[in-house]
Amino acid sequence: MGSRTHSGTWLSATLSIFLLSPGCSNYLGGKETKPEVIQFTDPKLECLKAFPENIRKYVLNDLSAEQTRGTITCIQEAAELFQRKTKGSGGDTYKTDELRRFFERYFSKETTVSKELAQELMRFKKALVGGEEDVISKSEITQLIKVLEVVKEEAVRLQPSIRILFLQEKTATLEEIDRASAALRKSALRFVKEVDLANSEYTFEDAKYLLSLFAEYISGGKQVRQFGQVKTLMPLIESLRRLLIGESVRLRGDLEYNRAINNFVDAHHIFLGIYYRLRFFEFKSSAEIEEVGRFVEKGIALLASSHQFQNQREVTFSSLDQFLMALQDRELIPKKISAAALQDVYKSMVARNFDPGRRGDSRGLKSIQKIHLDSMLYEFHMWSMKQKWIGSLSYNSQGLIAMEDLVRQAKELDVKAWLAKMNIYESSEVNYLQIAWDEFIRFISANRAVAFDGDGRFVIDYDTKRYPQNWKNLTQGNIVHLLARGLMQGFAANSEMGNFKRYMTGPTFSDWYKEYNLLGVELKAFDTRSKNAGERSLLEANLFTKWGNGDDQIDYNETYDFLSLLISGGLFVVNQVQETMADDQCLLGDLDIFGFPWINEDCFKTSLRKNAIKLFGNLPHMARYLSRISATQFESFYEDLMTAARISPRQGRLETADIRTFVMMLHYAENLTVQFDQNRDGLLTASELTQSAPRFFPLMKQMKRGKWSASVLEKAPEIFWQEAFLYLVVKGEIPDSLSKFGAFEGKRLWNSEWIRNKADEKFKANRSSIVRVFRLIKEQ
Amino acid sequence: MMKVPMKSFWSRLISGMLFSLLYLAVAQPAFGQVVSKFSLVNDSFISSAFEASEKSSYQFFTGQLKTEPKAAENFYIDLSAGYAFGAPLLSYINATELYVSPHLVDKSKVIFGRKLLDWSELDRRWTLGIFEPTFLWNPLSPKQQGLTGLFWSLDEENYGAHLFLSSLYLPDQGPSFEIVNGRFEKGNPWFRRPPEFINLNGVYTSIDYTIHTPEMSEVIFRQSFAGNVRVGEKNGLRGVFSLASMPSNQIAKTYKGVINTEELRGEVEVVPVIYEHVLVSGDFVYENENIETGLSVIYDNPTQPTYSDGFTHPKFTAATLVSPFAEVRFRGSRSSVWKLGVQALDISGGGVEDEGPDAAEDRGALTSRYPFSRAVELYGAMSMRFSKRQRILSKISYMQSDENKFSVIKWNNLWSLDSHWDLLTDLVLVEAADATRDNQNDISQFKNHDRLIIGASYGF
Repeated sequence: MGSRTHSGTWLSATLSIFLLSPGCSNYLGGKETKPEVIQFTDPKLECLKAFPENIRKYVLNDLSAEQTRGTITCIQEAAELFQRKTKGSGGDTYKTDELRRFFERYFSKETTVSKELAQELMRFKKALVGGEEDVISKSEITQLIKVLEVVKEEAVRLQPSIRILFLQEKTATLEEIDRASAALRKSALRFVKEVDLANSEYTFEDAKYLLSLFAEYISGGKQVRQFGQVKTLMPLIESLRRLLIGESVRLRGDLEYNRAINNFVDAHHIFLGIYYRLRFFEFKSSAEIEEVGRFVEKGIALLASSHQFQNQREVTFSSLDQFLMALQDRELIPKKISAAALQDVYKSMVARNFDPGRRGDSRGLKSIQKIHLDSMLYEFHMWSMKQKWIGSLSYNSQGLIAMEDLVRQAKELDVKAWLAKMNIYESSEVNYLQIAWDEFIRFISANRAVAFDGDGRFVIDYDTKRYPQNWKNLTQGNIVHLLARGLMQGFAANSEMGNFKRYMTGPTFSDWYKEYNLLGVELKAFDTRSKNAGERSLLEANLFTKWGNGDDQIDYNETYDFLSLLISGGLFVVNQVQETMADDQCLLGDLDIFGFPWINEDCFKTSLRKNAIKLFGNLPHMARYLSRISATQFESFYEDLMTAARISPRQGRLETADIRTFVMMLHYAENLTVQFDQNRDGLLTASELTQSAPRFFPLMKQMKRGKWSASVLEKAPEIFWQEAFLYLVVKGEIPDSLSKFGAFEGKRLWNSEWIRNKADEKFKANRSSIVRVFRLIKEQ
Repeated sequence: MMKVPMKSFWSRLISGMLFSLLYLAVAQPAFGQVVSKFSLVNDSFISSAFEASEKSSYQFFTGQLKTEPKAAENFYIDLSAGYAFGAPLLSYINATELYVSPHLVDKSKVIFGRKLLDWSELDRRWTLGIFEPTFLWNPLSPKQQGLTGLFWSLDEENYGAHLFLSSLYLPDQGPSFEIVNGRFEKGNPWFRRPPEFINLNGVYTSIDYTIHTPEMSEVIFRQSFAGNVRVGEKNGLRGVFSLASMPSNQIAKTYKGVINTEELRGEVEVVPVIYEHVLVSGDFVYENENIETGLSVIYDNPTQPTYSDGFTHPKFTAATLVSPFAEVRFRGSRSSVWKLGVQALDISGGGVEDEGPDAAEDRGALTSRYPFSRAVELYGAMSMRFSKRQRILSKISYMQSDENKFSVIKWNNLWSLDSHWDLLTDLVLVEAADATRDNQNDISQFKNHDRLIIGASYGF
């Protein structure tokens, strides 16, 4: 028993010592075993977290080609992993919601895939690889992985151009834009071909919606400019779609899909051109103008090649209207111009300029048709052929070319060969353009000059016909030609062919004002208070242009001159005057009807005289006259001219319309002076006045009769009106008194060349006399 | 979800077995020299970090029916069973040996049943389950089980030979487990729980398991062949050469994991696959009354397991196992017998790598062939008799592996109080680093399974 106790004690003690020993505690104090985990995580999939950021970087071209490949490979591997490592509710198939929850849980906590995006991705999946819209199978995932291979290749191909395509650059050369668009076209066409999108039910609406949701996803709620804008761009894209594709949203077959893609790429290309280049142009070089022409031609070609036009043989006004509205909403047209104004103008142009047979009758006209596009292209080519020719002329080292050389080179031009260079071969168009060229030669061969100064101002001088021309003059002239031709084509009262056989009358000119009224008002060119702008413009063109004849119609020459004066005086000079007034602190706080500040009249007057040489540099003799006359004379000159020009009440301040008319009248006065001042002494002698008189007869016959009986005036011979005009200009008053007129005529006879040969010395009119007549006319 | 009905079936079977053993104990005269023993033991996990089970202390009622080793009976049995109170998964049955053996001629006999043989000294000493299956109820203390089939045995003084043929395959007997609703129930701390989560992109998802248990007939009806030759005396210099072609006692696990996107849960299918291997071994031993030393070598060349598409599967390589060993024995006072030994194991090749979609670099293969790849063990045993009926049997061992980064201390004591009653203690201490892909071993997963068993048994 004792031994039993002994051995038991020994065993217990040994065990206790063993368990409590420091070495044993190393064994007993082990850490918990880490549970084993099946790893589905592939380190390569870490890249998924960076996917949205990588897409943002891709658009900024902040990824290398290898990183771009890696980003898409990452998606492929994620898809492959998903396919391999998951089981859907249908075994090999997954429902949309399952996918969304899965990816939300495991991959994109920060950038939640919305329910809508998931649905749209599935719709896109159906278009790409078939199957159902709400279910995806493992075999479809395999096909999608292959599709991503195409995406990967094309993403790398697009990468060098991606910043340009996504408007991330500040500037781009034309070559870079062309290259970017070519790459985009190639990639888009290849993608559609590879995935056979053409035979799917996928619509533009679907793609548009998916794009906007995807952009939201990539933005991840952050303000990322290039993606944040996508949603707001959707109405514009939709309107562009309606314009290019038409109302039908479903495209069928490779042909239609490829055409649509080409349309969109072309439209994008034009947009890139405007964004990167055209908006910065100052139009000071031939290259810039030609580039503008190139994009205009592309625009016309785009309409002609658009799916809508190819499919329906027309581009509906409604689609174009919506497009303009969308441009306006996105502020892609100048803020001061409304879409409605542009709609009025283009419809007027289509009805009048591009469909001459209609003669402005817009009934039943609801679309742009082939005849319109052809006409548009003809007119563009007409401008373009001249512009290219202007660019090709041999200018001397100062950039000048003599008028004689200009005319000679114009006559020597082989028009057909020239047009062939422009790839214009169609005989009807060639003939049309040949006629236009002949008219152009006729125009510049006439004893007249086209001269603009460096500030775009129409130069009125004795010797302009001998002025050498430069590229800028000729380019500006070519634009005025385009406008004048547009007016004559659209608003001529007759339908004779050829610019020189047409004429506008007061009513047709009024039509132009009516149809362009909204645009004119928005451009602050038209005055809403003016009730008879057409008639008045016709009168001014008839009386004060070089080719004016005082009748009741204006022809091409008168129109050209009038437009030149209008652009020069009403636009460039007035702008300069207003800037000068601002510099001289003449502006008042209030704004006038045009939105410009009212101007203090005293300040205006002082500044005008002080700056006459600078402000009216295009009227060199008038400027000198104004700077040399005495203060009293200037006061009188100003008073007369401003009285004639003023629209606003006399309150010691002037508004834009006052100044605009004032400046225009200054041009008119100078135009009359230099036209008829044969000895160039700055004075119009009686004989010179007599020459100018006939154009004013119709006007004078409308002035108040005074003490003259109507029957006398009706039967009065031309010599009577001539003398009355002389009286009007020289005396500065209406010859309404028989006695005064008799006395004047007596003096005329006494000083005639038969008696004293002093007629011209006694009866001279200067520039002040002319503006006084303007005042008289106004007061009538 | 599949529910493996382990608990109810085995509970009933083990209970039945224990009652049978009790009956046999009472009726043992009918079976000649069969000893039966019943024990009550308390098994406590003593590590502070033990967390694998719901509780850390278990009580067992065990029974063993074993023919006396020296009895020359035609029937031999070594059958044991244990019932764990409140932890049915820990209950077990271990049929180590069970055979009948009619003598044909002198020294030659045919054996039919389940029998242990000395196929390889290395396999016996390290209990690796290479030739013979192991009872892995407690993987830290594996026990050999005999092959099952038809044996022919020739045992002469200077030579001997064995042949084994079988169409019945009984692999290693591992810890019991239960799957309820796709989850492995906690209840058996010795069961190596497979991964419980799938990690995808840092999101951990619980796994539901489905084990595709093959048909019983597909598992057990497999051909095995083994043979060995002994040249030399048992006590003296001898060489034993064995050759076998048989299914591996370890079962390969192929598996496929997916995430169910509808329920956002992991689903893992496990398909156990049995694979064949060819074994060649040689033992070179010198043994006398006081010393035993030798070198044992096994060449294990497995076939690759078959697997279904998309399943992750183990890839095996051939292994060469070498184990030198030396043991001295001497007698002390009070009729004590002492034994001191040292043995080492080195396995070249034999690595297991998972291949397939779910294989991971930071995790070892689910399948294990050898519990470790290199180790040294020192051991000592002592048998001391205090009286005719009182004695102490004590064995202590220290196994250490630098390569596999573990050490295990085992200390078993059996104190026979009289001819019926024994007290027993069993202490196991484990220290191990976490397993990695480069350090695959079966010890590390039980590093917190330090345990102390104290019990008493009664033998008939």
